Amino acid sequence: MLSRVAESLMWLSRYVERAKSLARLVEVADQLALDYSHPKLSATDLFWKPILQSYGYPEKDISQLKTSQDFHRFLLVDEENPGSVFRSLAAARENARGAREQLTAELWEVLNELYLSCKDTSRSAATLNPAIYGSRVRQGCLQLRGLIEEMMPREGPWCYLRLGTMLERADQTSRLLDLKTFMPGKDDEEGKAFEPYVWLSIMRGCGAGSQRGFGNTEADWPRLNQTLVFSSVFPRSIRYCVREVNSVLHNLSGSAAEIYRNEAEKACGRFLAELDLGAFSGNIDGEIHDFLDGVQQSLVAIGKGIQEAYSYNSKEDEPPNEPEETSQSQSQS
Amino acid sequence: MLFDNYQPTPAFDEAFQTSGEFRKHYHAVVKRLSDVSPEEFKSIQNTLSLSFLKQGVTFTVYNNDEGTERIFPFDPVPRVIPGHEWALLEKGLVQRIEALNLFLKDIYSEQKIIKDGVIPEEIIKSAAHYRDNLVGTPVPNDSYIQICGTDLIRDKDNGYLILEDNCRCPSGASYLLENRSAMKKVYPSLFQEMGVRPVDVYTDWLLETLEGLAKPNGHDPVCVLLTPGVYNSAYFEHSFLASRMGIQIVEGRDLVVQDEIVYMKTTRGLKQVDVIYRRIDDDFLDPEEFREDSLLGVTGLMRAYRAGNVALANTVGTGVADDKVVYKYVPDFIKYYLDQDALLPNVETYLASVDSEMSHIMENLDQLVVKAANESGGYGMLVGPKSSKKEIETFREKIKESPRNYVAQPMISLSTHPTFCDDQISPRHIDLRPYILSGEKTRVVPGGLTRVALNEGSIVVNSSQGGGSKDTWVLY
Repeated sequence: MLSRVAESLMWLSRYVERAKSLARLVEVADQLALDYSHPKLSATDLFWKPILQSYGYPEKDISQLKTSQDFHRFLLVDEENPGSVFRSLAAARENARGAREQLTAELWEVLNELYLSCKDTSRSAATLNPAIYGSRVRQGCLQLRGLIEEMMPREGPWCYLRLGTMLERADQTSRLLDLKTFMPGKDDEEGKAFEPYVWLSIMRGCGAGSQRGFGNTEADWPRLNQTLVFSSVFPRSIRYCVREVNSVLHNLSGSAAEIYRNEAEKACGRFLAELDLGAFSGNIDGEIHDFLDGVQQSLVAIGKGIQEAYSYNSKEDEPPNEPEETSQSQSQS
Repeated sequence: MLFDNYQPTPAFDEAFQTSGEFRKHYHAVVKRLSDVSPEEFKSIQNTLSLSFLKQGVTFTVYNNDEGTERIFPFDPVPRVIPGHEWALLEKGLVQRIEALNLFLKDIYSEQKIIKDGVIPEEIIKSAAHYRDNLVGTPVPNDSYIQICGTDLIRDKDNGYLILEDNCRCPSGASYLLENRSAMKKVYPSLFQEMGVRPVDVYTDWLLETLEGLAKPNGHDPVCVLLTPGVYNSAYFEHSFLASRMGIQIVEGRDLVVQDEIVYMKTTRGLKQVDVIYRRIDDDFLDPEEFREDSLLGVTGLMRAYRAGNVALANTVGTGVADDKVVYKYVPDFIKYYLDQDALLPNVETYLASVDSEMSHIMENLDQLVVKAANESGGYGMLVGPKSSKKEIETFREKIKESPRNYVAQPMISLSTHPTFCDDQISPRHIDLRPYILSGEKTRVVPGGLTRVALNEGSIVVNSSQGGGSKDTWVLY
């Protein structure tokens, strides 16, 4: 497979995962905001600003948005915001175009249709309903995932799609967990009353809300870490995702699990070992925000390693001009 | 119902006889469509358009900052060509491509045809796409044009005429295939009933043709399709064809040349490429030899090509045969190389560079169609009878300034075909582009792209200028 195509496939599935996660989060937060009224703080302070902070948007972007509607638009359909759901879908589609011959016709059609219908909504809708938009995006993205899993042989293209999905999913889970850092805390009575909403935002935001035993509104923070960070079975936990990345990497290079052939495998192996150790105690030392920063950096290192290992190294690219010239001058003399 | 008010124009109508009846080979189609109401027909057309849009069967129009993806308008009234008529077309096209291949071989080697005085040397040397520095460079199987899309029109008096040869990078074959697969869904019963010949073989033949160019070097031939990239207006077609053939679609940046061998950059290192089906014009192929500013090409590609380590389809320099001045001589080529008379005649053509013909052009400019020798896509054209005095005078100056670059032809009235426009079926002008593949033998896919000028009275069928397309049914 061409290196460029491999990269496009990885980004294609990254963007799909990103669009799906963000659409779900906005949908969930919007529904929760309807239930809760805080004596001092507005829904934007409680939900929307923390979401933007957790995704790393600079303060100047955040301060321009006023109403909940502004935030909905910004996160879901804004064509100027490269992180919006719509822009993610557009980027997914661009990458798919460049790798179209590796994808089934059906897969392309589903993605294209999703993009076209979101494009209509973003241009036309006067008021945007996050529940409807979000569910359209989620359904479309899940259909794509289903097609990938059902139709594609477990060869190169599938592997790169898988890498993109898992790397992005781990990153998205880390953003969700970071909401705990940015949402108002339980310093006072009001904060305490709000705590269940933080918990629910995170649990429902990653689709864990309907898992057995997670439906409670009562926050259980240690259990959150065990599930979303360290679980070896929950498919959105960071450890689960990194383990998947690890296995696909070894699958691609053909090296045994404990042999590290490239920087991607090294970075992934190191990170996985840390998570395995952490799972032993189930606790995170220090601030959760710092831990999550570390997670995001490790994921970036793996991504860089993949690019290094599987794209053609441009240094060897140079055609051997000099040797040619030497041989010419030799034959002339 | 739909055909009740069909009013043919004075032009030749493909479906309707002057006696006031539909031609025999159209009976089944007319019968089938007569049961359909205009509303139903419109909904068929909408469903098809939507399905093309969803599948991304689009081309990109650049008229503002943002390229807009459009579908090529599709008319669901099929064009039908009876078997015996097709047999003649096929023979004529094969004859023509074989003669053109012999011509290209000749002018890129011994140039006997010039020495024998059949065509003046100047015309060849001054053709924009002639590559003097490729004279003497051998090509695989002595074959220059592998893929050709020849444009034909049908005149009231003269039958089928060749309008132009497209020997560089003819496009549109994906529409041939997609239109057919759409039509099979809409009118399943007609295909069996009428006996329509399938066109799906196109990509098999194309792959066979490409693989036939590879020189044996111990591995299965590796063919790739070289595209300018996802922003190119024909990108859909590129990815469609590559995917059907199961070959890689590459951009210039995916290829690298080392020691005069072309490689593609894969996740497992470099892999040698034997044959490139290039959908990039000569000028952009290799910044080392052609345009230095080309970002689409591959540095060193021409060195690999000259060394015989990679084959290009079509080969470099075939554009000389597309020159509209050279076009005039093709019937002479057929006589010279094959000792046969051309089965499919040219449109009568006057050269501005020949004094006697120049005076004819100047005197009859308002009656003639003037074309720039090296333009395509309907650009650089004057349609005399439909132009203002001012436009005609502007063109007169242009022609006088560079006679070599202009030819003139009488205004041919293109044949018409029933076409669904404004809730009813009306005659619209059409042409025909069949696709010819030339490998071990030369074959014509039974079908082609029928392009239709959707605006009433218009004779410009190009997609960039209000044209649409129809499926073309060749019967057994």
